[in-house]
Amino acid sequence: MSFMTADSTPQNRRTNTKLPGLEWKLLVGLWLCVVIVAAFKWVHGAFGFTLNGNAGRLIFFHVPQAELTFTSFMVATWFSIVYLAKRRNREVDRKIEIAMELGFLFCVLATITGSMFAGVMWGSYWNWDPREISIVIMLLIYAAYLVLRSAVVDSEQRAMLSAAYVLISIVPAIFLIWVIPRIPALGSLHPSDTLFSRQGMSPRYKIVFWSSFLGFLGVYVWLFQIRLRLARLQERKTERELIAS
Amino acid sequence: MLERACESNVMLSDEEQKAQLAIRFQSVTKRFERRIVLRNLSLAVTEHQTLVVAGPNGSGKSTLLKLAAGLIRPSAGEISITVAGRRLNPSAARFAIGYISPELALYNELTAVENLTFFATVRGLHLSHDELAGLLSRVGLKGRGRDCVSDFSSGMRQRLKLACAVLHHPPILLFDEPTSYLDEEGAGLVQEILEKHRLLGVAMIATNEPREREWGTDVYWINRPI
Amino acid sequence: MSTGSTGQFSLFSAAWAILVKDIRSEFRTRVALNSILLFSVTTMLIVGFAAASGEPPPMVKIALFWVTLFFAAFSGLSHVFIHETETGSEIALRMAAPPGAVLAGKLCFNLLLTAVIAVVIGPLFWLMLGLSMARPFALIAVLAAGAISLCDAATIVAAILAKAGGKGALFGALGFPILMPLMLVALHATRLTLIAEIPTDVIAIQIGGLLAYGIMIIAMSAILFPFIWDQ
Repeated sequence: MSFMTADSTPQNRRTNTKLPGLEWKLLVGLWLCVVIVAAFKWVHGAFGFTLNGNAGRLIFFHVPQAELTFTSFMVATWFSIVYLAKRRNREVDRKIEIAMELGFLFCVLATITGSMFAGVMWGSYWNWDPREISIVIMLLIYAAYLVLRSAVVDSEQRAMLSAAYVLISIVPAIFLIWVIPRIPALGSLHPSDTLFSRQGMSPRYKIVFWSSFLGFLGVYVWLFQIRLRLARLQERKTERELIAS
Repeated sequence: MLERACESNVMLSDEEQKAQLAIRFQSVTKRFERRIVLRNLSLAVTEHQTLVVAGPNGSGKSTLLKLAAGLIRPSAGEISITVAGRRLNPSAARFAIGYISPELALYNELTAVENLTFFATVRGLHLSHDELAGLLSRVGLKGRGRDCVSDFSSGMRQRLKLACAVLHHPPILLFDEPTSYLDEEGAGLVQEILEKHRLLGVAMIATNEPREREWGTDVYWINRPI
Repeated sequence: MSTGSTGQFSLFSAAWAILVKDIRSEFRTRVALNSILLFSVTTMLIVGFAAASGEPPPMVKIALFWVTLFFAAFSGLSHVFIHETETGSEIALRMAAPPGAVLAGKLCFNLLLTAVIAVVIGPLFWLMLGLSMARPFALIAVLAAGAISLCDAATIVAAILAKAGGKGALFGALGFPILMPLMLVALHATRLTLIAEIPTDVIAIQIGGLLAYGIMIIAMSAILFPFIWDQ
């Protein structure tokens, strides 16, 4: 009796209690444990950071979070284009929402870790550095999206409006990511090209940094899947209730 | 309630497939947050048909008409409108639709003539002075063209809405409670419009009035009370 | 039932008709204009009062000006769409007018409205706060570019807002993220025009940035408006 045929097949098949993809999730957990140990034991304190260079270790966690914030926005943008261009179904809308929720989560984490770092490094928890402004506006974009969703009642209209809002906010996002941090007059404290330049980081730093990024990406995918499953189950529950009534 | 969602999943006959002018619903479901209003509904209205949509309050008559007008989208299923043999989305077929509903309103700050001229212009039409006067007198608003709509009574507004809905001679009429606020003569006017329209187009009417059910060639019941 | 052949022309005349209709309604009710002017004058009085008791730094004065313009614009510019939704004429307009014409007409109306606000509160603000005018033409160019882009962004946010039920509190939430980058550049650029030694090309880049932002927003609006307006 389900009218969302696209979603309902996978759940119907899965009746055993074994968690799907348990192996790679264990691997992600193990991987991140190794990354954490390496970040504190294997890598030496870096020059130019306070606390005998130990403050530099925060980069392994702060920067991947910030990058996932933007990655998540890209994911949401992609699904929004898909939604508006051709596939107007609940599944795509749900994925946009989840990408925005996770983006919000990582944005909060990046803001907190960034503020901690700023407090240790530059003596103040908030400096109005261009990147700090950028991340706080990204936070506003995510929050605005979630507020917009809660304000619209009709689900088709909600999906359409929120997808449109994601695409409109590309304009400020481009500005925030590419333009504002590069305005010299605003004087960023953040280095702009460390990640990809040759001499920016020592090899050990690079290995741990990119491993950490991979680990965080794994967590992101994992969270995305859990959230998607939860949303589908909720949908099925509502559907059942509707049929029962 | 499910079993009575009548005539669901009817197959379209060859005749209906070939029609030059038609409204088609194919397994359409409209769901609001916690409620399914229309479930798996299929129907087709073709040339010279006037379909009366009947049912108790809250059964989804207005929703059905809004879907046909493309004002809301279905949660599942497909709606198409065929004009001159071309299959279109409801929102692309607006040039061929005349729609009125209790929720639709005209501009209160403007006069009747300004409203009519405005809606003609945005549709890419030009109404001459005579055409305007003819339209106004047809809906019984002769001599009131220069008054602001805010000074109109509810019945007069309904008459002006009728004029706006037919000013572009649409082959498809979607009338949601067309006689609300209207007096006997006004109801007669609606009946006359629909009768003339039957010769050349299709129409759907959502109504609660038993008398108006007689105006249609077919009646579609949603949740018919026993 | 005329479509097709005169497509371009009818789109333009439809947009024109919507603009004229909005101006006519505004002249008869004066809701948007009155609320904006009253808001601006009230804000200016408070700001002027505060400034008289102690000299704030120029950057704060500029920020006050842009914040006033921001909220004045939002309260007034959202009116064009919210009014349609609230009265129910939105349905009639959706049934009759092509979405592109609606966007063009409403955007033009809002640009006119923004011009009126800027012309009224700009000079008053400068007089009241005693800001310097080192480079008057650069200043006017910055204000114009900033106000145009502000208006573009406010218009598309208003369209979304009207569809979301037109709750007033939402406007700040939805509009702020879209407007913030613009405001930052506008603040910075306005500050530059107060200093005589700044070379013209530095200011020109800022003006270019402001206009580019507005153009990007308009381009996005043109693509997205049909979806927002008509699902």
